[in-house]
Amino acid sequence: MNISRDETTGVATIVSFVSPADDTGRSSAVANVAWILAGNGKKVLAVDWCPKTPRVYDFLRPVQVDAVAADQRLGEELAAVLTPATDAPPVPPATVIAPVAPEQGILYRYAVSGSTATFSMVGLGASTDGLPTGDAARIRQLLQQTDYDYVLIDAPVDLSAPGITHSAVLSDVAVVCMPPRRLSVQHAAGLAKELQQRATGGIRVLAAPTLHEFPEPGHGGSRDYVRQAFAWLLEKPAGDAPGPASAGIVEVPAHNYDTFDDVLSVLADEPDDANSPLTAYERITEWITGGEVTRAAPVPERIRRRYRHAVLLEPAENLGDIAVAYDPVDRPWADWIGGQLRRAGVRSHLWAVRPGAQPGFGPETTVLAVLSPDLAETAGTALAGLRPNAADLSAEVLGVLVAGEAWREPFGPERVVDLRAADAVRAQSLLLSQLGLIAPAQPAGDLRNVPRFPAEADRRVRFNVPPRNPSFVGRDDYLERLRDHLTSEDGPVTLTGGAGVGKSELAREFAHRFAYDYDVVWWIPAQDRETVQTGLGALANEIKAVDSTGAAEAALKALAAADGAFQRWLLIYDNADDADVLTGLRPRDGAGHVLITSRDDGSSGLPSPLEVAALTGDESVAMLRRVLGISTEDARSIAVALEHLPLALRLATAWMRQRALGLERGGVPSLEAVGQGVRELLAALDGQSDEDPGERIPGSHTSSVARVLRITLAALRATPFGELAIRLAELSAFLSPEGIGLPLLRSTSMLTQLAAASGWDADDLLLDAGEVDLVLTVGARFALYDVDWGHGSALRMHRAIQVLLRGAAPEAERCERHRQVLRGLAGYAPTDPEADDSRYAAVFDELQQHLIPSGALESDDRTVRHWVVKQVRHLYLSNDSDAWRSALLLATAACERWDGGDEIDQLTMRMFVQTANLHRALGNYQEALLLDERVLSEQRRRYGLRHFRTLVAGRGRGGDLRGLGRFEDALVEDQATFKGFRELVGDDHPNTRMAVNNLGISFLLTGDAPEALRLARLERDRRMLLFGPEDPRTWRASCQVGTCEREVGAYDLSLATLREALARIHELPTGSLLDELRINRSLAVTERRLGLTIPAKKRSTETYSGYVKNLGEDHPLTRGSLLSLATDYYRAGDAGIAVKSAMRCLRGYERKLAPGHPFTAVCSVDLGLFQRGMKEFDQAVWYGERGLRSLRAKLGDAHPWTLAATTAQAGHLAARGDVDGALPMQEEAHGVALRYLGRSHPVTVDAAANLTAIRALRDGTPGAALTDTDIDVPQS
Amino acid sequence: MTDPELRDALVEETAEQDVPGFLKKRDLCRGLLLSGCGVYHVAHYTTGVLDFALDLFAHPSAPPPDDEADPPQRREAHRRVGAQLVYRASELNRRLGELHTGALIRTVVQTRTGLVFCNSVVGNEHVVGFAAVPGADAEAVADPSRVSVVDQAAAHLATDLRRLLRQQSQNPGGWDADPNGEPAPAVASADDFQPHRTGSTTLDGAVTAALHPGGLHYLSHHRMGDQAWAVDVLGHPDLDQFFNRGVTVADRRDRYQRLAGDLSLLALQVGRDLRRAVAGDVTRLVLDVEMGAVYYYRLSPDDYLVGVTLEQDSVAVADAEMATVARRLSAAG
Repeated sequence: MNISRDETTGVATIVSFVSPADDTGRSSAVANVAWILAGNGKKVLAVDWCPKTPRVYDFLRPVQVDAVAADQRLGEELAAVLTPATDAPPVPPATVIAPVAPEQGILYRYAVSGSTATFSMVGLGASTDGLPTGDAARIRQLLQQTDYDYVLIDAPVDLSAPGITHSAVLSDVAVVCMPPRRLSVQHAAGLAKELQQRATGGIRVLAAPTLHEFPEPGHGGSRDYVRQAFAWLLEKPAGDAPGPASAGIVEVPAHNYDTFDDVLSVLADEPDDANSPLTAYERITEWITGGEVTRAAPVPERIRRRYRHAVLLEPAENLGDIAVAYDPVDRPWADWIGGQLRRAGVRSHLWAVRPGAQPGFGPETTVLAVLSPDLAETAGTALAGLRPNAADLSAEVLGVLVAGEAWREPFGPERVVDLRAADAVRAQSLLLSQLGLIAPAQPAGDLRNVPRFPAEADRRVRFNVPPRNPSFVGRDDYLERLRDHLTSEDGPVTLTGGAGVGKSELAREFAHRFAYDYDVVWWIPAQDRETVQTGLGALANEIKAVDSTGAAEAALKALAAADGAFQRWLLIYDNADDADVLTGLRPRDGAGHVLITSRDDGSSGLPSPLEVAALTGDESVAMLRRVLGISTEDARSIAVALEHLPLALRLATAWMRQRALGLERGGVPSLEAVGQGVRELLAALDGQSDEDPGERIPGSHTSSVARVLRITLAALRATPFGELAIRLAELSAFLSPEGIGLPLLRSTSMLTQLAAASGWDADDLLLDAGEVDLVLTVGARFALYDVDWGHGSALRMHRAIQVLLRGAAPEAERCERHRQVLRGLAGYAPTDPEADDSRYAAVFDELQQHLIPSGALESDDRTVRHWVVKQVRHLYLSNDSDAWRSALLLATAACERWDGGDEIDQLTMRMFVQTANLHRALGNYQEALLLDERVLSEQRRRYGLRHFRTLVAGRGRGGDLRGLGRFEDALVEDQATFKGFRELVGDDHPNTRMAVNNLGISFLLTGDAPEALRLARLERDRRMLLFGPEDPRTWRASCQVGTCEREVGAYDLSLATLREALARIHELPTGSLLDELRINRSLAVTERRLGLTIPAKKRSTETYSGYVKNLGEDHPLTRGSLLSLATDYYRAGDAGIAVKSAMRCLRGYERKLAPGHPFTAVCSVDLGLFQRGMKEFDQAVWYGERGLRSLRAKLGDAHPWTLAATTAQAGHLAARGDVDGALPMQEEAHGVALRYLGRSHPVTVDAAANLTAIRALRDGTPGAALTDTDIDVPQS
Repeated sequence: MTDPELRDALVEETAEQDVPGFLKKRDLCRGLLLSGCGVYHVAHYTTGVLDFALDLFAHPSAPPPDDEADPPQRREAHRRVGAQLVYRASELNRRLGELHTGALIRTVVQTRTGLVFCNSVVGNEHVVGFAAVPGADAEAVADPSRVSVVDQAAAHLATDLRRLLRQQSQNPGGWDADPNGEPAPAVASADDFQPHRTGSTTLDGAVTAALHPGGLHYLSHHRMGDQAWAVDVLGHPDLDQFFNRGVTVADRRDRYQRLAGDLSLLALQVGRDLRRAVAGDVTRLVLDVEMGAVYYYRLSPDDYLVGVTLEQDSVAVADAEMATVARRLSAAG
């Protein structure tokens, strides 16, 4: 825009608006005059120096489009004086309700609605008190060096003498505003006089009185009074110099808007209303500019109406609707614009523009068009096609330029909202101000439903969707319907349809297109439950969701949480052909979206089926044209021949491209080559029109894919490496359609099988193993599969092609390929010892993907079964209960299949052991025990006691027995296992160490802490030798040492050991949180025993919350730590909380553990103690008795826990007043403790102390208190 | 002559892995039970895992159960306790290795009411037996003579089991001392030999009298967890053959002292292990190694005596002398 400037001055005119009192309409005048000037092409800077509200800032807020650092635009010195930095730190003001104020150091820019003009403003923030000081002359100089035409200063009221001088020196013009009060008018007149006197270089003064009523000319006393007061000003000779008058009066009518909002008259007032404030501001502007600017630029009626509605001057029905027209590719932008319009209170419609489709909205509707080449193609470059009524040229059609769209068509700039460089906040301002709309100052309502800004940078989306397909075309209808369905909160939607029709492709495009609107977009292959669980497990890992029930469950819970970090998510379950696969594996709540793809025809009850048909004619033609550059006619012929099936088209495209390349190499000109390729393909397709129904893919009604695949394979056979590529594809047809890792395909094992399948010599193929990549490339060129050479590094084959390839081969050959691929997989599996080594986890993860698709579970091949066993072990070692559950299903099925009744072979026994492991991990100890015992007796019978596998099964049995609370049986088993492993593999082997560890636990559980301590020390010393002090394993063993030291009563030693272990493991980079928690947990108990109540409680609290966070409420470790925490509460004097926590704990134990389990009994005993602390003696006796009886039955009367429980019980009785009952009980317990635990055992010491106390009670001699030592539940 | 009632009461159980080699071993064990020596449960273990077990729970000679346990429960408890004893014996065997007196061949545990023996046959094979101690309730200190029949029968069983494997007898318990063998070495200068003492207590003459090359060689008395005194004749010239440049007298004395201190804990542990099968705390413990034996005698809950002999042929004699000294000390104590 061409700015007209006064060449002669070349400097800004500085206008100060001053007033002697509040409520003068001064700030409103500044805002309106700035707008009028800017609308007439003047460059304007407003300066908001008056902190009284309403401020200039308040009036202009609705039209703000931008805010930038002031010093960039004004220069540092000027910015510093106009908006000086405060000394106070930028904290929110102390007052609760602070007036909204401009931000210090920020230059605001405002739009003149309905035009492209803008103007600026700077101001003082709320926390700044006092005016900017400084040399007025210098400020004036600086202002004049800017390129503004006008600088309008809103000066504060109550100017002191220096302030008046400041304004006088600074300004060229002063506008003196005054309220309609006699005294104020007098003050104003005085102010005007002062200004004139102090102005060194002369100043023009305008009196602008506010008048209540605006009487007819010649009437009204107030007007006369003002004139009289300013008579001296007007009487001055004005005609001396040419140019604008040096003084004047413009009356301003009082604002009478019926609203609480600060109304900008230029937007709200009807033009040509002589009595409106707008007219008065026009006259002020005219006077200031010396007649150059007389009228405000016209504001379109629609904008005026929207503005009046926004400031509540008009009801909504007068507002026209706004339609957002867009090409489906730009749906994200349309969503965002629609959301902004809704928030601003306007009715808006989304209108996906299609050829031939007529808009369905009223003639008053404003159209906002998201500009894109596709849109222009449909609606014309002038967007004439978008007018609600083509004849009505006054209809408002605005274009929106968005990031990512190349729009090169001419378009009137006043009709464009350019959002290309804007961030979310600025884009909102730009959009709304252009329309005269006001965004709500505060975000209101559920922000989850407001579409996100599509071009937001740096937003992290948790995203695992396969790469976008660059040749994706069309499908707009489906994408629109998907988006409509999901955003309408109608729940999950299922894309159904035949194979190769492009469901997954569609879902993938949807995910990429709308990823910006989500926090999490997760692609979950759903061919079976295990795979779904693996997918959800990966998600749990990504979003760090933890739950004791398992990773998949944790992920779903995290998504469903109303206050979780991930509010907006999209889960895509791909290939869920069976609805049962998703049972319990779909989120139940939450604000996210679920998209399912399935070949299911709707019979299995997947939600909201949306059937995907083949491409439309135009879409397939567009696709062929885009990738091949062939004529529409050729494209149409091929598309029709292939029934518009995307997969068939993809194969055909690849074939034609390869064919054309081949022809070009043979010298055929490029254009001709393509044409010839098309003709050859059509002929080939024609030649095999005799449709073989056997070649149909399940779920498909046509054989198009099969036909073109046959042509592809024929072409491959004539291509170097093509034969190998076909064999590779045949092998891959038995692997996961979700992707096959290239390391697997390139492995010696797989290459050996590829050689066998191709009739090659394996050694030759391995010698030139690099050539496998050429094989991969050839197949990919023909679209037999995709190869992702990037991060994913995988081969992906469409399921339909897999099915066809498997079906195409004769039965014998198919079986052979299947056998070969299974052998290849089995050979890729690491060896048995490697299965326990975390370094091989990635290999097993790769193999896991192929376990189900390859049909390995049905194989009778021993090597394959061996792999399956190792695979199940890998799942067992995963430490994820969801993985355990699904592995258990697999393993149980395998056990049933493999179990030959009387004669079970070695692999079956190993599968039994792995199945038992899974049972045990899941807490099904009885089931685990049955399996382990069967294997154990079989192993012992067949292979003897010292066979490796026998010992492994024995180790498992020990764990089962411990889990069942059968500690003595477990001990015997663990002893045998330990001795066996020690003899077989020596002291240092990991298996022996594991056995020592288990045995130590068993000794602790059976109450032989000294032996447990001896073993723990041996183990710690051995680990120190084997791993050294830099390995967390060493300190983990140290934790066990410290725990045992406490149990034998060596508290000081225990404290030192555990503290050292904690410090060391804390320092280690490899130390894990769980290790720290474990040591902390034990340390708290030792501290408690030593009477360090407060630190113990603090430590227990931390430990408990750590366990809850990391393992969930229901984990045994969490439960044990809760009981320990309860004891610390009790010790700290809060028995009430202790009782509550112990109750919770008890219920948990009763629910989870076998009846009569010692842990349940221990919990009951502790609860009795806490009840005694509450003086609930009957309760104490009841719970104590219950625990004691159970412990005596399960562990015998010489177990330390039984003796501790007896001491506690005697204490309860004594406390209740039954000393006669208590005394013999305690005497007996003390005697047993002395005989079997020795005098120095803590339990004996306690028993002796309690005995003394009870005797004292009997004798009535005060003194010793009853003991109340708790029992700590160890890790089993 | 086998008591037909015993035969009727006999119950035999075999583990899952019934190898033919068990047959003869089981015959020997059965013979022990049917001999009427008082043993009512015998079990054979390999690496701590049960091979087979035989019992006479149904016979009146077997002690009645402590609680209401039925025979199958008692059987299971005895088998488990036996396995635990085998574990203790194996760990002790490793522990005793530092004494350089050979492997632990026999462990005897005596309580107020019962006797349990655990004899090592070969390698990892152990045979464990239970017997009742008749009418010893009144005595504070264990009397080995009450159970010597069982002890001898157990020793014979172990020897017979070894013979099956064509192995020499290890003479457990020293019962097989050959009176016609090499005569005891001439007493060199016993009169002027002064036993080595630790601790200042003046000793009863009977204590020092028990210490001689043909009987006990080392005695240590412990009270409230500490060694009260110790006295030994390890330096006696007649015992020179038991020492060499690797194992000196002082060295061995130190090791015995440490071992003696540890035995109170062992007695507690073993007592607790056995408790499900045999009531009462441990009053006598014999760790019979290839060269001699180590004895533990409980005098009172906080008082015990440890003795050692290095002469395998004297193991039974020394045991009897231990009992004598223990009774004296207990009476004096």
